[in-house]
Amino acid sequence: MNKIDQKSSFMSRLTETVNNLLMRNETVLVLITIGLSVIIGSINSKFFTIGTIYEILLATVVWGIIGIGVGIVMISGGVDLSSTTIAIFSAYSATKIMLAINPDAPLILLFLIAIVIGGLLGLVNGLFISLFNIPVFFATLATATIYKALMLEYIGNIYITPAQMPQAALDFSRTYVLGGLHVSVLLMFALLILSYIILRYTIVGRGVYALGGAPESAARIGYKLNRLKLSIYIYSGMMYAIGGVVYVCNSRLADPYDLMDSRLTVIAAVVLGGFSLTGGKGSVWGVLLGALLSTIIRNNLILIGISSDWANFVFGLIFIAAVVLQAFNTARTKRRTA
Amino acid sequence: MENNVIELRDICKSFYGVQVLKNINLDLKVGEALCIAGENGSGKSTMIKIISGAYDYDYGMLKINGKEFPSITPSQSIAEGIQVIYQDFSLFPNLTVAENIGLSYHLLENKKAYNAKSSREIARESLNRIGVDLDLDRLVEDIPVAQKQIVAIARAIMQDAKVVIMDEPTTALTQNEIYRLYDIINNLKASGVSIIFVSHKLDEIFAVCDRVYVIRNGKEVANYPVDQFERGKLSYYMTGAEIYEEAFVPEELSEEPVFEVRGYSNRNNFKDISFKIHHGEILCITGRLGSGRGELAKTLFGVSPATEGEMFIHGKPVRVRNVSEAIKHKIAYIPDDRLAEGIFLRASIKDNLVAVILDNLKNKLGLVNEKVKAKSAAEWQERLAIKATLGAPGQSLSGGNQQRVVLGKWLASNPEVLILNCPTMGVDVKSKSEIHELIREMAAHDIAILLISDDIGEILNNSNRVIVMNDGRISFEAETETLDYDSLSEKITEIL
Amino acid sequence: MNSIILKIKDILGLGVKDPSKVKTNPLTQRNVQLVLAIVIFFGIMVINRPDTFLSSTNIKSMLIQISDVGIFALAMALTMIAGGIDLSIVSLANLVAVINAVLLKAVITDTTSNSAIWLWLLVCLAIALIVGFIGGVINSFLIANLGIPQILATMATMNLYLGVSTIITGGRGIIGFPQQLLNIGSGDFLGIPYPFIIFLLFAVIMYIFLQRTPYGTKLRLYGLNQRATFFSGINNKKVIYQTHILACMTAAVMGLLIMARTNSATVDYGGQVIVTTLLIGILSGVAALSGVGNAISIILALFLNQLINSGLNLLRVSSFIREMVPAALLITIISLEFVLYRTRERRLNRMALKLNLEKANNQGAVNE
Repeated sequence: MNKIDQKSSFMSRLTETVNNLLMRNETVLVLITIGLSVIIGSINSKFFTIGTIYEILLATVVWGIIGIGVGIVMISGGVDLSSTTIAIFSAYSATKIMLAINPDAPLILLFLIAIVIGGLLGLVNGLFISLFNIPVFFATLATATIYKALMLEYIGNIYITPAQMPQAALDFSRTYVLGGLHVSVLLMFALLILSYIILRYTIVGRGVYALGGAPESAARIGYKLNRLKLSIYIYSGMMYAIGGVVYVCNSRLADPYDLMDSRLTVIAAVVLGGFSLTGGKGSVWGVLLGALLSTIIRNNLILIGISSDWANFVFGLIFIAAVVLQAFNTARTKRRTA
Repeated sequence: MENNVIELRDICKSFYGVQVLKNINLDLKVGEALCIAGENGSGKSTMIKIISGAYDYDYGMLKINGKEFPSITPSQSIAEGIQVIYQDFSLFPNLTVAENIGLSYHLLENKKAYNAKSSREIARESLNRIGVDLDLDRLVEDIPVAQKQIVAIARAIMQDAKVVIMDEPTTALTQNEIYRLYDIINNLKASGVSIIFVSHKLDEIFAVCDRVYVIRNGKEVANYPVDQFERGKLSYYMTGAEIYEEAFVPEELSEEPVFEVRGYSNRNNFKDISFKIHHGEILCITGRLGSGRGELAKTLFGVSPATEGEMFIHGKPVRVRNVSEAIKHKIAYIPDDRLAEGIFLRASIKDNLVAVILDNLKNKLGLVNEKVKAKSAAEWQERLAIKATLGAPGQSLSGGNQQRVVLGKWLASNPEVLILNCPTMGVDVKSKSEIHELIREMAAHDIAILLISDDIGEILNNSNRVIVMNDGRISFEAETETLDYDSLSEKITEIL
Repeated sequence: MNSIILKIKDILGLGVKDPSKVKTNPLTQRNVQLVLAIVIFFGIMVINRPDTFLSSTNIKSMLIQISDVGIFALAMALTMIAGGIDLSIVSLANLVAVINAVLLKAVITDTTSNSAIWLWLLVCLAIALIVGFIGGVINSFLIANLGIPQILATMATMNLYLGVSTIITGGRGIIGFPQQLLNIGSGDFLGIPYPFIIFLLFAVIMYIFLQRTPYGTKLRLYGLNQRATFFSGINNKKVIYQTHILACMTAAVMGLLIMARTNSATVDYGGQVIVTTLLIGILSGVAALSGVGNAISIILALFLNQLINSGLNLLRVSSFIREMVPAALLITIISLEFVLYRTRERRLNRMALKLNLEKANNQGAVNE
């Protein structure tokens, strides 16, 4: 190939890359987030202070971490309705267990217990989904209800007050770095990067996309689908558990009735982040952006004088807009290839 | 025997109680190119999927590289050096060309980490071997069907395979690409790789294969070295001796055409298509996969509106922008994918047969008149000789009977124009000839018939005029009686 | 004797050896299974708690609880027959309740006459139907015209309705409605509670739609294979619109009934109802997943679910565990259907194989 060819192919590739970038949900999302921020910021200058930005990031953490799990399940082609139930189940049980064995144990123990519990609950989901071929939606809807009942009946239904919480958890909630950034934000970024690497640079991670794109073909090129599905649900269960522990620590109390009603919020955030319900599409950065955007809508509209009563409505509208945009994009791709 | 790579002994396989493979025996020698020939639905694809581990088998013995496998998974099969080019390509639409080719290499090598760079290298090298230059970074869902087939081929030949199985690998390829594929096959053979080549096209079989294995209705019917195989006998083996079709000769044609399109176009799918169909005629449109023949059929039926062109029925201009308009103008369409688009497997045969005419069954209150419904269903069941009770579900029928149900559903609506898109795909030989019989009968009963097909034998016997489409345009048109197998096949695969 | 056993097995849907020789259709099989389960549970309860279980209070409360879930279940069943789901029905009903609550609070005072109140209640009904219609159109537009998956589309509108309700009420419940409305919730006719009669009315309407109109057949066929309905010239979009409008209007009327039953209108009533309605859809077999049930199966499934729930209540099982029962049943039934399908397929394949081998042996013998 001579030089001119190379150059022209470089130019065409560049324009194509730019086009692709514009077509991508992440780009659109960044633009919307920036646009919304500019609007809020121009009305209320407080918005652009580092303090507010740190606050938004902190408010995003739980949804970002749980969103990773929901997002990975969605790439593989399923909608997980048990995410927040697993989160609170693991966090609440782990806190109780830790209080029972050694209230002064280090924080890592709390996380480890929760991760094991979350992983096991995820495994149960995965078993139903892979062994009995139950649609993910039905399976996780049912297990979520069952997990909730089992927790309330056998583990406890009374919330753990701040005074009873393990000291390590309270310390965690008061740990700030970089002049006021909460430490759990760093944890979220660590998990995002870890998941990014797994999804992008491991065979299992590529398998998640393959499974979501064409399950039968994935089996034919040698993926063991059942094993792959189990790994997905165990990993997601662990993410939910970490998210749950962070939630419990940061709110300094463990309420077994908490979080459970937010499962659709997480799914909405992930869909907002460019994931497709039919599977095969999405990246962890989309999770972050979706979670950020939904947090800004829910928490910061009050800064520009919109009552918090409107948050659900505005969020609903933006959610519909995101879904519609996605539908148009899919239709356009289809038309292009048809 | 030590020099057999693959041995099948008495392999049996059923799906939901329907036996598709009956005591299959097969030996594949090292470096041998074996052709498996058979009609659609004869069981050849099932046979391949058993070797590749996609399906379990019910009975018999499977030996690969001298090792016995009581059951085999796809990864075991791949580890034994078996690579398959599936008929449906089995690609990932949401991944790039490079990933599609590279991912299975990573799996084969049992790697844990995915290396995008080595994927690209492998993909590039393997595409170079086929002599095609594709953009490695495009998503497979964005590339045309012919390129998809090339990606599927590239994925299978890049690895150190011992056996490469190709399930109808040329359906979307042009003649040049097909020749290139022959070269690759010959190179593979020379380096000791065995080939299983599934096809029913004579010229392909004789170009690359050492041995021909013919399967019919799930049974082996012939197995000869290619030099002892008489060319003319292939269709005899594939279809069975009892079936002999006379070439279709139209009775008197009407003066005026029943159905006519002029300058029909649909974006990039096809351009400037014009033809006429008279009463009593069967017009056939053929072409490679991706030539636009399927899109044309669907556009005529209003699935997507034509971007240009006119349509006339009985000389009157009509517009078909959607399916309901097509039905209003009495155009009927038999889809090529019977299971996905034609039949309701879990609905009763009765409901299947009235699906198109449901709105005509209403009484004054807007409720379904059960008597009329039962009568109509019974009438078409009898006329099409569907052998089952009306209450039985569609899935309890054989492929041929299912296709009759789909035909019956449309005939119940009294169509003027009938478009059949590959109507005998996956239908057993006997039903096939009966369906041909039905089509001829309908042609004689004043229905304009447009047959879309890629089965050359079917075309030659069941049409009086042939149009070949190539790259979205009409590249050739002739009276069927002036054509033979080779001349038509050449027209289909030629490059413009 | 043997043939009678075979016949019974066939009706129960057990031990069918050859699908082309099935005599009893799957619908009857499902309904017989449901009736049998109802009889068994009924029997257990009557034996265990003869006095409390058969008391008129218990039966009445069971009927009312059936109607609480039942009307939503009918709405959900419609969308499940189409192979989909409608998550927005409960929040739509709450929206209707909230709108009407605000209206009634505004127009009705202590001095409003009886007839005027009835007139206003009719206005409420009209509003409910209109809101239901609009809700159905929005869902259908998202699903049919924009091609958004049902789960997502209805999840989005669910959020939206919740948002609108929150704006109207500021998140607080509205309580205190005219006695005329409350009477509908608590009164009865010949001992049968009004809500149950209203439920039966809807069930009859549903039966006519599903079993007697061309639409019913189209809906079922659409649920089984929507590409095939498209290629059969059935207007898929129209089917979606009809289904979701019907479902949303049904749910909207339920909004009024919620007001009548609870004397309040809140944004988040009935959080658990969705799971139960999905269970009913699966249990009755109407969901396209199995694709066999009809309106009668829905009623039977509702009775069965209620029997189990009331039974556990009378046996003093904790409320946490009781809430879990529909979910546990849901997942068990889907798993069981899958396992049964697999075993049946395996058995059929074994039979086909045996037949083939026998034939091969016979031929071999002849050849020798």
